[in-house]
Amino acid sequence: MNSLEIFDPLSRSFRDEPERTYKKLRDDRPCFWHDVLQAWVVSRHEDCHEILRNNERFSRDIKRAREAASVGTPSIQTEDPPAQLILRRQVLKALHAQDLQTIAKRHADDLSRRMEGFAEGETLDFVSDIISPVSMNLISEIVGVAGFDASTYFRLSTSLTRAMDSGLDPSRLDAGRRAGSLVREQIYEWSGDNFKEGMFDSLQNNKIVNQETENKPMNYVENTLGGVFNAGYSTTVAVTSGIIALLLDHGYPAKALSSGILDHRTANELVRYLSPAQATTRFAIVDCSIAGVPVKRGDALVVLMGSANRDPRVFIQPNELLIEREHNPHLGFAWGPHVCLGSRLALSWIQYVLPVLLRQSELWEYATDPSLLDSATLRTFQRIELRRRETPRGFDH
Amino acid sequence: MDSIIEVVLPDNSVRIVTVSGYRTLMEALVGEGFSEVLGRCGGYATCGTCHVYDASFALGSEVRRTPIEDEVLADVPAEVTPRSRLSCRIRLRAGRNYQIVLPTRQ
Repeated sequence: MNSLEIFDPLSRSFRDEPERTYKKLRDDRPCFWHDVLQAWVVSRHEDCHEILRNNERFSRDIKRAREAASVGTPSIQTEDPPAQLILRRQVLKALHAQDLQTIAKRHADDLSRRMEGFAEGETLDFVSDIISPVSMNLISEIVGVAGFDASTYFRLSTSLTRAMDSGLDPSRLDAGRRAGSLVREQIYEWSGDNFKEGMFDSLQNNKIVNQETENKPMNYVENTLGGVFNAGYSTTVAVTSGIIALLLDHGYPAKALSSGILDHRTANELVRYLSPAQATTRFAIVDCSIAGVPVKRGDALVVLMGSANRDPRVFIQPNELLIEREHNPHLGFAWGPHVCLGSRLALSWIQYVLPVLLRQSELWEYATDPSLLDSATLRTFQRIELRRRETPRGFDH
Repeated sequence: MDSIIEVVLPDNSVRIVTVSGYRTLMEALVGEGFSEVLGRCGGYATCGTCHVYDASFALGSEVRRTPIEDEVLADVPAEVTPRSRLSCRIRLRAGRNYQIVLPTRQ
């Protein structure tokens, strides 16, 4: 059996039902060598958690595993502690200095207004018409930039996301590189006096940040800020489109959600269940054993967070959405020194947007089948065409 | 030498564990199966999901908290009191006993 017969995350069948493959991997091949990816694919929660957590055995920084390797786009995201620790704290501090709750609420209200502006029988694409512009405005306000045209950026972000799977499909790399350059150039243009009040401006005027980045490689700052911007935008699109699709696909979570408490537990459970961030890469920096399989220093590891988040060894009823799940060590934000910087924003956003989506899911239906992006890294939708339902006669809203 | 950690859980029950070999209180709590403590950032004082109340000191005496902890604790969902600490910032000392109260949520 070749590697793609075991795990082909770009295939339509995998996209339609990833858990079927994940279960087989967890049960039969929890750590297996993938010839095409040239990496070990790791699927059990215990192993994924350890790889993400243990920075002394596994690295994000390829140079710690392979001395001769070079980093294409050096940034805070490609460095490990202690190199990125001070900067990482400053980025978090600048992010959390924003009034995330108020901003999240304002843009959730905007999403509601946009969807209310359609008459019965009218159609829209939830991704391009609604959540892409809302996500652009949300992230632009938080970081403090004018923002991109939403439809232009949707294409750039799609190219960036698809390029993350260039190990499986090298033809995606060029478009991703071009998109990365455009984002970097725009960040550079916005910098200086063109940053508005917000996260990026406070970082730009932060002495600690300036000292820390003084001797960093060229484009380090633009790469870092571009990475923060794109991660914020693309994961907001992914999680929000994932929730509306979930609500339209399954009546029962909508019912459960509408009767339950919408707090951090609910938001965390949605992140676990939907797992927008499906996979990430690390490198072994020591010879070690994963699920009983010997792994050599320098080997690449693909960590399947999407699989770990459905592992019955850790989660009771893993394929059910349990909105008041108490023990929820999900890897939806990853774990360890590269845990998602925007996790607090994401949880706030879900808490505010969920009631809006619950209400809207009763007013809309699919006009056509939704289509997921062909990405192994980010589970996100490319298109969700909706039609506003006709109000049944005698039914008073 | 071992350390003894007395933990008051959110339901007010008490569990006492004897530990050795852990560097920090967060590592010990996670390692001993206290699922209420997450430590998502892996011990780098950035996520706030290892928040505990340190009851080891006599009533009225303040715990020693670092400025970094203050920043992170400002955003945690549970109530922050003068005894709030990030357990990843508490280095375990052999032979010392700890009394910890866990918050209702992380």
